[in-house]
Amino acid sequence: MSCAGYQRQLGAYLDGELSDHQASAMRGHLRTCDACRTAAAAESKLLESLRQLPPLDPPPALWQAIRGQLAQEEIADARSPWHLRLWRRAAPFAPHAGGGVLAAAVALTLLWWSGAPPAPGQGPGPSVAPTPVASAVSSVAAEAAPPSGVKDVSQALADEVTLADQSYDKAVAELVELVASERAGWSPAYARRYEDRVKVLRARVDGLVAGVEKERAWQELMRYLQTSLTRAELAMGEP
Amino acid sequence: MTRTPHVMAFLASLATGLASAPLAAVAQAGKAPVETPIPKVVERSRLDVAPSQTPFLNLSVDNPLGDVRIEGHDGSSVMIETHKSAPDDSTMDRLRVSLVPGLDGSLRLGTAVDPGVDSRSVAKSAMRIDLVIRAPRDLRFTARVGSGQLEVSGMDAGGEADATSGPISLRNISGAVNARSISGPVTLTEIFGSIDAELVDAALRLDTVAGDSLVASAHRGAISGRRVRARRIELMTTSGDVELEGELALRGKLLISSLHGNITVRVRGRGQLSVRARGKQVDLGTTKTKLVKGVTLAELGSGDDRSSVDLRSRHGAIAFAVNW
Repeated sequence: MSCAGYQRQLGAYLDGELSDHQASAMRGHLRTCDACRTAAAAESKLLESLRQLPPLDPPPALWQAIRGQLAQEEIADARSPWHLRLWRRAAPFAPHAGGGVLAAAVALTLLWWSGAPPAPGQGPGPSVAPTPVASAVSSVAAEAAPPSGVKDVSQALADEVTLADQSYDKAVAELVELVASERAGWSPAYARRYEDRVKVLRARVDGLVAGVEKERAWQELMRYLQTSLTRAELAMGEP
Repeated sequence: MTRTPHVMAFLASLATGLASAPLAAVAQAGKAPVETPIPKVVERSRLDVAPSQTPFLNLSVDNPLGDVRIEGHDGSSVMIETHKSAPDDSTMDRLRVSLVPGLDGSLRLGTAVDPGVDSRSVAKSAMRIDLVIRAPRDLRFTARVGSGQLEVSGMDAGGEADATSGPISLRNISGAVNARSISGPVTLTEIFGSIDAELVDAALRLDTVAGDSLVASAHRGAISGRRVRARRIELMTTSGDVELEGELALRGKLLISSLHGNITVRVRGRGQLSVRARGKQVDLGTTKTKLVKGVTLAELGSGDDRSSVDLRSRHGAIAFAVNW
């Protein structure tokens, strides 16, 4: 190799990107060639000073722009016919596909020659071809859709309010059921008072939308139910 | 012509394999690229809010997006430290902290998330806002969190603490305190004032509590207290146990009730104690008891100042002990 050839590879050599064999040849040449050694030293110095530079933060808008461009390309891809999309995806593998198609053709010929029809799904015919097309289309669709299972924070916060409401509702339902199983010994007057009070408190809860005020109403209802459940005898004048 | 079946089968499978290789490669090419983790963006800011003419009287904090810590100090200004974190800049731009001072001496602090300009979903767990607030001690607080942690310490005018599932910890507070939680545990330590606590599915722990009244209820959680002293103590659970160690004020009233929980009480006795207990098993620590219509009665101690103790658990055991 000439000096010009070695000097073209200097950058790759200094970055450690040459193969062992190429690097060995480069080292050998640098031992004997003053001009290339000087060029290598200059290049090394330049690289070193570049490394000393502070890291450059990309502007925040850069990623937005890249993402927007990717989205446009995906939209254009989605609008193109399926066979074009398939071809674009298959193009890098065309040389390998050629071999495969040739081998399949040989096999088909042999099968035809043997008189046996190709088994469904085993030949390279249309029964096989739709599978990758479908998977390619579905994967494109999956990429275009928002990440599945990720609930946006706004929705998550709204759900938390609903969940809190449901927690109170569940606890109250449990308490009402427990009261129903424990109230056998209650006096009719006390039972009537209980029914009336629960109706009022429940109506208040039902009249409010989920939020702080409704939570207070739930809490009042819960405490009344718990009091009735655990202290009814006291209210009924136990000794 | 002789054609062996296995040769034909081999050729057929070879053809299928060769034909499917590029097709598999196509399918492989259609897979979504593996996303590299995006570094977190963190933003910290600090704001000092000084009162203009009227001093601050009330502080209200509502943070569904993270933790809240309120610490009392001797100054007159409110210092707010905001710690925001998000997966990227655009999400960070959605995080909002609002501060609204009122003419009545109130200061309202809230956090929220803007809807965002793009349709990209960002999980709640990927972002948070934590608030650390140093406020004048004599300011009454109202603080609310979702799943974050709520800590308040060193305040002298009481306050209210609410959480959905995050833990609440109040320490060294004077004044009336209200604490409410659905599923986050509540710990009240060194509270000098009345307490009202209501929990659904969480445990309440009390340590060094003194005040006029202590009213607490838990549906599925337990209540435990040590060094508790109050004139009126009312504790109630549906299924959780209640364990209390403390001191009854003279002419005080202690009422603990539960449906399924066991009740264990150890008090330091003063004056006369009138004890009533109703439970599946009752142990009042004395043989001088009477049983009237299922209620075990005992008169303990002596003196003009009579305190009443009422313990009842329909399906649980009751143990009561007095240390004179």
